[in-house]
Amino acid sequence: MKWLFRLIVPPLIPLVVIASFMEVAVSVGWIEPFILPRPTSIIRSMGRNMNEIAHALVETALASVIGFSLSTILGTLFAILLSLGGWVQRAFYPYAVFFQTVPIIAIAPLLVIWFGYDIHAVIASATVVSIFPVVANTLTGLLSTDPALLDLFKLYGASKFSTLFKLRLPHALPHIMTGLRIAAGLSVIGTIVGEFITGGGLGGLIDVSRQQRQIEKVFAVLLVASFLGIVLFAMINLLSYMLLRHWHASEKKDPS
Amino acid sequence: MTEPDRSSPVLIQIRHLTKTFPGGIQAIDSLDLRIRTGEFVALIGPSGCGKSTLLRLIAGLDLPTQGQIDCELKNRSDIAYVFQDAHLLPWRKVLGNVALPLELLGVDRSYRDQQSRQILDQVGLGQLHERYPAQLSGGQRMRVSLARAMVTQPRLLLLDEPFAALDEITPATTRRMVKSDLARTTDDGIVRHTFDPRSRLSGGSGDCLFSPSCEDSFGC
Repeated sequence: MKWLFRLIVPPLIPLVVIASFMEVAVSVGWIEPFILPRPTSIIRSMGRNMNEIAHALVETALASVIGFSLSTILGTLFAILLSLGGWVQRAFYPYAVFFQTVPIIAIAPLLVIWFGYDIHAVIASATVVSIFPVVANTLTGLLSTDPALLDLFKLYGASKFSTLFKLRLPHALPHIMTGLRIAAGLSVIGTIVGEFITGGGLGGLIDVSRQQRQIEKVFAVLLVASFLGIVLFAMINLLSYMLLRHWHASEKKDPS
Repeated sequence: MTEPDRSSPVLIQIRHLTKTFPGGIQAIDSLDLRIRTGEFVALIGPSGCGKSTLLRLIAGLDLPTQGQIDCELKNRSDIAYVFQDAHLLPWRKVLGNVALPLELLGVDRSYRDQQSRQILDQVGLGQLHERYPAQLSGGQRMRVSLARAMVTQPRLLLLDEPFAALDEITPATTRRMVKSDLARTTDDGIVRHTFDPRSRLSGGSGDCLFSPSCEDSFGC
């Protein structure tokens, strides 16, 4: 119980302070409510639109999870391909960087043309935005394998397949988890951007609420979208803890 | 350990071995060396004089620039290499680390587990087989590394300063363990050659070899 208290209370303190300041600032007229709504009106709006927000949340969560999963699988496979040799890396790495540098808001309309005005375009948007951290971090992990251990595997005649699955990938696991943590948040961002174009989900709801000048509803949906990102991030943290707690310094501490 | 028998068959014959690294750094220059079955050989010399390079070339981990190494050992299980540090797989438990060479050689699980438990008992770590490397002391990790090298019952054991990073008491204990194992297995008809730069200084018998770049050599 004590660990739960230590886990929850510290992040609640800044939240309470900022929310109280917002409440006071709007109440006394320092900030106009159409710029920054009162936290109490955001909560009331969340309650009023519970069903609509919950429906949109399921839609966005589904697209985010699928996009994130695709990033994880495709990003890891692409990193394995790049790790095969210097020539392969020189040939294909620039295209991986492309996914990092391309402004998603600019190519989202293209994705709609290619995949249609539905969840497919949203998933594509989530994947494009979140794949680069997986590629970059997995590649770093794969290329930093202990040379002495590579020698050991060579000494006993291990195949490339065996070396990959018994040495390189397990060694890269902490790096892969770092990539997944970043990708988890980005996949939600990619989904929301995709939904701005296609409509539907939390992104569509934010866009419609903005057009209707329902600023407190925009904030309510934003909070829910952030909550989704936090849940995905927490799930990756839990997975990382389960996989690495016995052997990697990053997860050896008690999570409390 | 007994003195090597000069009539024993030659296990490794090295002729005019030269190794030059990119950039022109010459680690080994025209080395000739014959190693017989049963010999305990120590290489002594300062850092960078080519000791580890020679071990890597003998192990087949690197290719010579010139010269040749004729080795009678054809099976991968015949040669084992112990590094300066333990270099264990941190995500595997002690038993999984010791069993790794047998796993890579395609030995079935029940036999490799049995063999690994046996060798762990010999190095005094039988009770710790369920631990992860991070839960062991430096000396224990090194003993796991030695157990991993010995699990295939190699005929040639290459030790690349494995005790250098340990305190003085632990290496002395570990060296005694290696030597007693060597003597015992030799009696069984399995022969190993050990290259350890410090073993001569700690009473090891056999030949001492020196890199050409080492000035204070003791002579072969």
